[in-house]
Amino acid sequence: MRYRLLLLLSAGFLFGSGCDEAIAPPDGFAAYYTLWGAFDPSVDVQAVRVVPIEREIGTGSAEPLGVEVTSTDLATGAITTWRDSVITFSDGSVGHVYLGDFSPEFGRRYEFQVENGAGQKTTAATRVPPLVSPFREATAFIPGDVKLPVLWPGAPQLNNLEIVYELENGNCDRFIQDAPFVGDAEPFEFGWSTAIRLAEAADAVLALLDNRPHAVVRMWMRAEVASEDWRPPNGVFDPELLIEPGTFSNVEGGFGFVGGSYVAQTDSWTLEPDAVIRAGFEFPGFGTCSP
Amino acid sequence: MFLVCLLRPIGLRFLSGSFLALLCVLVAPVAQAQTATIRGFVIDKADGQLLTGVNVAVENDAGDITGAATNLDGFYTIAGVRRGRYVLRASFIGYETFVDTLDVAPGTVQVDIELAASSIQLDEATVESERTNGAANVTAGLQRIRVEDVQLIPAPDVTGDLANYLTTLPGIVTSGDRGGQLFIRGGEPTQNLVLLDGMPVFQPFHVLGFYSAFPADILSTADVYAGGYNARFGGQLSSVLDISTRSGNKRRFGASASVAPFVSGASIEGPLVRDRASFLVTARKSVIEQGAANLVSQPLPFDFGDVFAKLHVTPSTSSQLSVSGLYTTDTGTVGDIDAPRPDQVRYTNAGGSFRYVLLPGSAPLLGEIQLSYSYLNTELGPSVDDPDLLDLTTLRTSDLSRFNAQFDLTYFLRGIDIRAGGFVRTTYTESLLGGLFQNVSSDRVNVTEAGAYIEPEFKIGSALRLMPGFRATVSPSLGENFFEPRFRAVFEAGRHRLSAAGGLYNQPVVGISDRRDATSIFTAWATAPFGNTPRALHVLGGYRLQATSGLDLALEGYYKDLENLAIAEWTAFPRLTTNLQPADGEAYGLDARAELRLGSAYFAVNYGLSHVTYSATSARFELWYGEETLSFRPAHDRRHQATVIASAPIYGFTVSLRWQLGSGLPYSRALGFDTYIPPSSNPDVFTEAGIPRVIYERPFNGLLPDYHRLDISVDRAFDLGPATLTAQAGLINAYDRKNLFAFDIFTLRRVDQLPIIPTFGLKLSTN
Repeated sequence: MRYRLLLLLSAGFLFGSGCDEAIAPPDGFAAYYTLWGAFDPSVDVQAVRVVPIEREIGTGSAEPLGVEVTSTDLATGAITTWRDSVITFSDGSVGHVYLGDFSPEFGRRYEFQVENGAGQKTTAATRVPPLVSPFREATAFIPGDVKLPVLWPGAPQLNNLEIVYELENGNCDRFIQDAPFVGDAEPFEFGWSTAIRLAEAADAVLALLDNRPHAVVRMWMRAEVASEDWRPPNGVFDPELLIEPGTFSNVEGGFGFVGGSYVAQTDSWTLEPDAVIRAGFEFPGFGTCSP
Repeated sequence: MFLVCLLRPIGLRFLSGSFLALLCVLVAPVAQAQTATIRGFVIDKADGQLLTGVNVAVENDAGDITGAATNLDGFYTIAGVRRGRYVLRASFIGYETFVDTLDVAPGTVQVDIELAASSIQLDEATVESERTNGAANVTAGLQRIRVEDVQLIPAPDVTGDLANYLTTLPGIVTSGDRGGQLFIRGGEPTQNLVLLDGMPVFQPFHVLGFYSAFPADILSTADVYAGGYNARFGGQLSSVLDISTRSGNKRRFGASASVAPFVSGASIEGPLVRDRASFLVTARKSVIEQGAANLVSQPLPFDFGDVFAKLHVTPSTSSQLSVSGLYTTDTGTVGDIDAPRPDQVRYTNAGGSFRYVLLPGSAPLLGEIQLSYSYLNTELGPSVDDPDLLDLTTLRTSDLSRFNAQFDLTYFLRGIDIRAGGFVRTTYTESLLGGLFQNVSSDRVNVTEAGAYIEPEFKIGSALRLMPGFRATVSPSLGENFFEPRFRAVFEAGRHRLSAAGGLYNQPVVGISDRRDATSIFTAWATAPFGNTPRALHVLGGYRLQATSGLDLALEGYYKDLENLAIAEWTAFPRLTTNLQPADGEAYGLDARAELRLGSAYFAVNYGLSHVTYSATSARFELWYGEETLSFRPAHDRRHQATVIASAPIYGFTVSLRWQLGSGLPYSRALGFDTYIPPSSNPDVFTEAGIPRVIYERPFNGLLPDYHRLDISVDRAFDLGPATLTAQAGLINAYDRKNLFAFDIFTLRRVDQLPIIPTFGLKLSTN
């Protein structure tokens, strides 16, 4: 009899305990928008992608974000209001790119702000890099290679360095070829110093052309001169590392990065004959078009 | 020498290695002592089947008692018995005590015993002291489970299933009522060694969590070592589930058939040669589409089945032979069935084993040879039921097969049983992963291992048993050797039992799963991805008290240190593939059990407290989390788990209920989603779409809701003369708790476990 009563009491208690529980939403998460873009003083329309941070994954929406987007010149206090532009990308996703109709000043500090109707703000501040005029120094012939030094005085940061060649193929056709920078790049007290390692650079560009012989007519260097904060952790843009939100960000109240950047390039130069030979290039007129 | 001579008749010349020679030297002088050995098999008088755990003791005129319990083969040996007259008693719960008088002379006496089922209610105190099973009867991590334990648990099936019982044990965490994943004291499912008559079964649990490849119909005993297991087991990190099946009725034919909403089954058994050879065949098939799917309002896309067959032969009074085979199939969609392309998991186990047990000559020796082959194929991909979605390029497969040959010898001396053995096994893995684990080789791999173990059991006085052990494994294919000391100790005095165990364990062939997603039950088998074989250290100790004749209490603490694990790497990319990264871990906890038997009523409460922590080190973590080593609770770290079991006869019906409570499991909370554009240069925001990104909180920082559920069943057996009809009705999830199985952080959709399900079943079995 004791156990029957015990069973009944147990069952009665347990029947009364059923309920559902929702999954607790996270508290205190104050991030509203992710921003990607740059202030570029070389163009007269600025563009920054504004991505709302959503609770569900999706492909974006063309619906207006309901935000006011502005930028402020922190030196003058001048405020520019940006306008929305809905972009449908090639993968079908939709994004909001905000456009600001002005050219920022070199070396000036700006704040970019997104504010929604609830007063929630996402901001990013950056300094547009100063105007940089890179120039080439004397070629250095070293055992087994040739170094082509280039100085970028006043540059806070260099990203996306490239070497640009005007090449001539065996049919005497001339064309422009971009190739990744091969060499050394490091900041110094008054800017950045780069040095192309020409033999390796020649191998790299010829590899892009199926290693067929080419003559180099002239060449120059190009880079994005970026704001000082556009410097990745450990000096490397590792996408697997940087994808973690907040790892590389200057945004308050959100994620992403809004820097200052413009493209600068050196004047073109022709290579010394000895440098051409050491690098493994041909001389112009080497091909079948030769008389 | 001595042993080699003994083994020659059974064709075991190949065993005469240096290891055996050493053993011979150790035991030969003792064997010549002028004492007797009493040994034999104990069988059930009704059906001729071997009985495990029977206490056999001899008592001389002076009242000195010495004895032993029958092993999994129903075999007992009492060694070192001096000349004289003895009274032999064999007792076992539910059976009449066998009593005989022996005049013992030096040499070996074989006394085979038949026990008859008891027709009278025995004294309760006598019965309980002989009990070798029960929820609170745990010894240094080892619990023996019998059919009657399994049948206490309400299930949507008249027959019962071992899986349903295992989920009630403290320290065992399941993934829920789908997926078939059991985590034992912090270990991963692939770290459990599951043996069926000595044959490994790699994925023994069906896709629907109530069921395994082990229906109660086939069970003799199931020994669960939740840690600290003996030296004769190896190759897996976490636990051992050692299942022995019945040999089948040796005296008459029997059959049964059952129907229920989830599964229907049938079995047949009987003598091929009376008292000499018997067979047992069982088969089950899920009938969810025809049954349970009509009782609930949600899809149940599960299909499974299993077939087991066994042939048992007793060629002579001193030997036994058995051949077992198992085949299981599972198909199911574990995750969100409404997803655009729901993944279906399919797996198949197949295997067979051969065992030969011999009592050679007159020596106090038991020998066993075992050969087994096991195979597992697992697939993950689009449903084969929907040809439109079938895309073979997204199919992932993993194959695992193992051939194992081993021998075990036990030499019985007065006060010491020396158990030793050796093995050779080769394991083959092959996977087609489609980049699922991006840095795991999918090459075909053969791993060959050979090894030996020795494990003497010292019986000091009547209270203390010490079992130091040592296992050595050589793997030429991995270029590694493993040396694993083991230890078990039991002190039992009156109502008190203290026990402890520990050891080192290695796992050369590992299962790799992506635990970031609860629905991801696909496992790829491979050698250790980072070259370092996973290793574990176990330490555990417990206390059991028989408080009264019907009340048992047990408390056991444990600690496991885990090294060289492979876990899914963290990334904010919302991709389904992943790199693996190395990790270490530790698990510790406390199991508390109370078990009360009042006449025919049964009441048990189990509680498990568990802490599991994994730690991974990466230079990235310094940037992400401010520390180079990330420690987190893995997805199976259920901090608190309690189970209440009750069963009692009420007005001719057996009413059983099970209530379970589990605290929430950890999961990685997504704070939101945005788009990531690699910031290596000024982005072209007009053309660069970016990559969808998950903004995670710190890994596994969130907790899912608590789990609790009540299952109830009512059974009644009707004697129909030549047959018995058992009818069952019940409720699964009786108060319709919406327990979460998985939560898709991308869509915020939840996949719940089974809702309330009324069940009913019938089973007809011959008497």
